[in-house]
Amino acid sequence: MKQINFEQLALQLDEVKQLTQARVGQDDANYIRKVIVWQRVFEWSGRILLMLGFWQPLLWVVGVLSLAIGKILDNMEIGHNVMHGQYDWMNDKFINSRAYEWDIACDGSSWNRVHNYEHHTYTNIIGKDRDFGYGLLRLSNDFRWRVKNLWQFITYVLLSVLFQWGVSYHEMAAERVFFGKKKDNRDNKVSHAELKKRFFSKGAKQLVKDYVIFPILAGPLFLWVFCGNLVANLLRNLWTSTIIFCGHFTEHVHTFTEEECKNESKGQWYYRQALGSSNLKGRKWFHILTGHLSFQIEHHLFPDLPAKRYPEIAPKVQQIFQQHGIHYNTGGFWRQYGSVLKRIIRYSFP
Amino acid sequence: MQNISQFISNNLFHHKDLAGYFEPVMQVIKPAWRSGFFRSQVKGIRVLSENALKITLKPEKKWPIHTAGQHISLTIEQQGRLISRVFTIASGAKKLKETGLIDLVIRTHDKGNFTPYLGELAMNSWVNISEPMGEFIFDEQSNHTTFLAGGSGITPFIAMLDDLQENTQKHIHLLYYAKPNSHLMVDVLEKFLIRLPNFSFELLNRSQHGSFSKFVSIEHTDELLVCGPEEMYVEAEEFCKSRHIPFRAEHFQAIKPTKSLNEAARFTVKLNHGDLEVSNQDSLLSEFQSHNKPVMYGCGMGICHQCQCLKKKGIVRDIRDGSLSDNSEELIQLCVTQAVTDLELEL
Repeated sequence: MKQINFEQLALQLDEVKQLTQARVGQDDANYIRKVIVWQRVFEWSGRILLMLGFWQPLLWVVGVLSLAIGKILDNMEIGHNVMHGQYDWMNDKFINSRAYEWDIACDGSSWNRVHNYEHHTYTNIIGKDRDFGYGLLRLSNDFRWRVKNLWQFITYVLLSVLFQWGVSYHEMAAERVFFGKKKDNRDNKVSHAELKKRFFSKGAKQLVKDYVIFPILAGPLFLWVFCGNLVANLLRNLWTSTIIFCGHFTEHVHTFTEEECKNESKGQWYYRQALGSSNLKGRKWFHILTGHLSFQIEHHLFPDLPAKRYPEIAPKVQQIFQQHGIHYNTGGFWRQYGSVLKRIIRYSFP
Repeated sequence: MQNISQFISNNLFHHKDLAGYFEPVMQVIKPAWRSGFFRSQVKGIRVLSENALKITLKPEKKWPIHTAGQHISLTIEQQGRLISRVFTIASGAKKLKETGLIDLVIRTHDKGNFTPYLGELAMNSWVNISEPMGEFIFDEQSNHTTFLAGGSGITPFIAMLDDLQENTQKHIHLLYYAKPNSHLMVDVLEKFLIRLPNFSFELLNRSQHGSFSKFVSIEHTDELLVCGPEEMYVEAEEFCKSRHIPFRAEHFQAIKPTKSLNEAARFTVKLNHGDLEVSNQDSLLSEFQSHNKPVMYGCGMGICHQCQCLKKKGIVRDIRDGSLSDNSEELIQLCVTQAVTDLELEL
């Protein structure tokens, strides 16, 4: 790792966290409840408008968008953040990381193990963070080139289209539940039987809900609702995968080896989080729809601070990085997304 | 019906509770509307003394009428955080039926995590209460009863006396212990003297009057009812057993760190599958691992929430910043907490 005063870096970033944490309170509780209210409004408006498509197809389009926004809010600003424990301090029976379950095919506890634990602890350490490329994409020279990488752009598009299923299958694929040989050094937290049960049970619930129950409730408008749910899920998948890719796989994102992260100090851990993520610039509504993952750097530094606080701490973080000569990876959506696509294409080749 | 609602909730909304799914929406219309709680409106806050408050609440209509002597859990939102404490209702069921109101008499502590905020509650604001709980109620069969109260343990007796008929023939003698000049609701007790012909009371304090035993008339006590701190309860239990006097009690104990925080100590952790003794020098996770307790864990630095569990009772210290938790129910991460008192955890 680069010569940086890691001790000072840790002290400065810890101070940012403590000062912010001291301000966390009523505003944050009111905010997350308000977002949940809006999520319910978007979801139910969407579900109702989908049924009015037969009368005026434009209403169906609005319904799809509304339902997609409802699902995006549920997954990003509510589900992702609540399940990170950002609101556990509220002592609310439902808004906490233990009770919350989100509206996607992935079982919350599986996501917690892979994302909350592996990805956030071992961010971008090759061989430890299974989120770097998800075992499907070659995104750095840390991986040996294989022929299948030639068409990894198509793999990426398919992964984005089916993103919720990719997230759901991620732990099982990594544990080689169905295919491949189990790695000897893998310490399973949950049995394969339990993983399969959770995967099929949560997945089935999602399929039955969106493609059987709600369409049946619509009676003769079955197809309108069926297709509406399908498109809303597709839009949500494309949005979430794009935001997540922009947060992790832009051009300047660094990777690390297990060796260089041995006996890592708190400051070095912060440094790795800083270089393993990238931000997106945008308006307030854009940040809300990304679940504030447009502040991926701040999220990786302080994953359990309420995400709505990231915009206010970002300038301080940037200033600290500047002081230590650490690159603060940020940019507009299209620029960052362009660099993600470039990376996917670049590493398609040897 | 409940099963159907739970099925829909689980399968369509990923919530254990359908009401929980709509809770934030309902709160827009009805502040403090919470699944599993009753709403209650603050109708009065009166300072009784330097460190005691009387709070008058108007529970929503569907709240079950209590029996004098029962208690409730009061939940308030303080800076976005829901905190709860248990208090005995200091008014009778008769008052609730006539006025729709209940009183809570609360001893406040300047450095507490709950009571200092009660005085800040706005009039007509909403709080949450549980249903009435507890079996500490007055026995209608008893003709000569002695009440023994300590500090704010006077509250259930006030409620019981409040509900007695004016022409009652029951003989009740109250022994009320508190620090000198700290007895609560003495004016109310004096009013009971006028209304209830066979009621009498004595205001006592430990330093001047000593043990309660010499004030209890054994031949005129069919039953002793005790409400006060842990020590009073222990003493009363022994006294009644040795003299074969029927005895019922409600006691309270504020959980506080018994040792200096830097001093090594061992505490008991009550788990859902047996007890465990832990040291306060290491994280709970390390302690659990050294005892070979099966526990999920991950990063070991308080980030991933894999070792999270529900603390039902007791105080823990956050290793990262040294802060102490509240005594009430909350989620903690084993890897960054140490025991400061005995604990009860749900893994």
